[in-house]
Amino acid sequence: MVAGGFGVGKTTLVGAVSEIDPLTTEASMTEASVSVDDLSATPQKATTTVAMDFGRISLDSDLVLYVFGTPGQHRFWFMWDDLAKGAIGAVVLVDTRRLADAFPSIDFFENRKLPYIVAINCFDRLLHHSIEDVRHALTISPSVPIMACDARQRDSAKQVLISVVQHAIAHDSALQAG
Amino acid sequence: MDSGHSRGDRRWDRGQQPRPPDEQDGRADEAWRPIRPSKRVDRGSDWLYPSDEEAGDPADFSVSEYRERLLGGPGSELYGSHDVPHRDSGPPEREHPDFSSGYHVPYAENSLSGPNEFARDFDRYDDDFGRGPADTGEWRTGDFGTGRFPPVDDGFRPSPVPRQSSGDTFGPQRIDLGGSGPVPEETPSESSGLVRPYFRTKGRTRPSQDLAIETLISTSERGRRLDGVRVPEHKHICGLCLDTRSVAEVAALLKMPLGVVRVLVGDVAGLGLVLVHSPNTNTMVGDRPSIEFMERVLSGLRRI
Repeated sequence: MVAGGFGVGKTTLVGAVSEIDPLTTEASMTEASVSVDDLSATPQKATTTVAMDFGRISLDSDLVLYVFGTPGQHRFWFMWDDLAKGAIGAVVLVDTRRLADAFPSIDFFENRKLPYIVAINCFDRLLHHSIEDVRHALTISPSVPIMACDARQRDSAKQVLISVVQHAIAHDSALQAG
Repeated sequence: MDSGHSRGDRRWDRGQQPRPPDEQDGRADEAWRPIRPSKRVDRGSDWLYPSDEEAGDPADFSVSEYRERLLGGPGSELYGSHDVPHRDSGPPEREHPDFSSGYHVPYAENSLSGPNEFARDFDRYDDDFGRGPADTGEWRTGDFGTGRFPPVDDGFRPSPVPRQSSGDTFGPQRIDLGGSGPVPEETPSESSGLVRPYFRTKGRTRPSQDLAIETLISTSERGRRLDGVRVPEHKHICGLCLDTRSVAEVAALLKMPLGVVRVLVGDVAGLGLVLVHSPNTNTMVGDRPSIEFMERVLSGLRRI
């Protein structure tokens, strides 16, 4: 489950790692989400829009991993519960120029006790802030991994997913241990 | 046009009071006669050569009046009413306006001021309604019934048709006019012609079985045959799930909302057309995936 603010590259990350073209549950989502206010003014459109995107990774003959990008718009918060149910973990994708966009996602995962990691999307291949600064700014616990990534790169995106699963395993092991 | 005139002539001629003769009438008849002389002669003997007081002028006059009633009003130029003044050019034109005004002006005023009148009523109604229950006009209480209307005004929208922003003020007004009815209904054709999602699900919002977004479904043997599958959506789902797909994928490929697809997939699964692959019980611990399962995922991810 990939979360984050509006336009931080969730779809890009999903697309980079997916074996299929990222699907969205509404075809015109990209045009529609440009002007959120216009969309909310036409309720008919909003109700038919369930704007999440997702990719698929076949890991094994009988194992398929779906990577869901959460809807970035607040009016789709109801989707998050569905997405979080049964999810291994979550990635909070962060644009350091708009850190505040990540707060709702982090709050949500902390409330749901869903293991998550923070991935800083380096838009111009530059990490503008040190990882510890970001951790401080986001006020997240030291146990949450923070990593830099390039959402466009498949290897980088894959590394992010591996980190999530690793973190989830560690998180759940720690829970089970006590 | 001429036939219409002739009908008008005959009908209106008989009922009309005699009018002073006019040369205009003669000209009209002359123009008319070469086209259908025989009929005209047959019927016309009593009025085609009328006595002077039974002039054709009332005929011509009433023709214009009749035509204007028939073809007049807004958009009358579409019917070529421009030749009415042509025929009436001359002395009758002096009479024409007051005759036609007797008909036309009220009509025009009705058609134009009707909405305005109602708009004024709306305003008055809004004012009254805004003032609250202290103002109890009988027409209003009678129209609305007692406890039913206020909730409607509180923003509750029973109609599934999405309203424009102006609907807030329009809603009560429409209800107010329910009896008199001259205000046209909002045409639903302005919205898209798409089938509403609730139609596909017959109003249900919950699937018959619990389906997660990522639940995998695949078409069963029965679904592959596709015979007896009548519902188009069911057919689509059966076609899509020949490869195993998740509910989310089906929703995306059908371009339908997830909730709708859940209901539909639940239906199709209930019919035995698709198989729902429930996750292995050993992959989940409570609502969390088991560690063994996650390690499988991890190793799978490392391999790709």
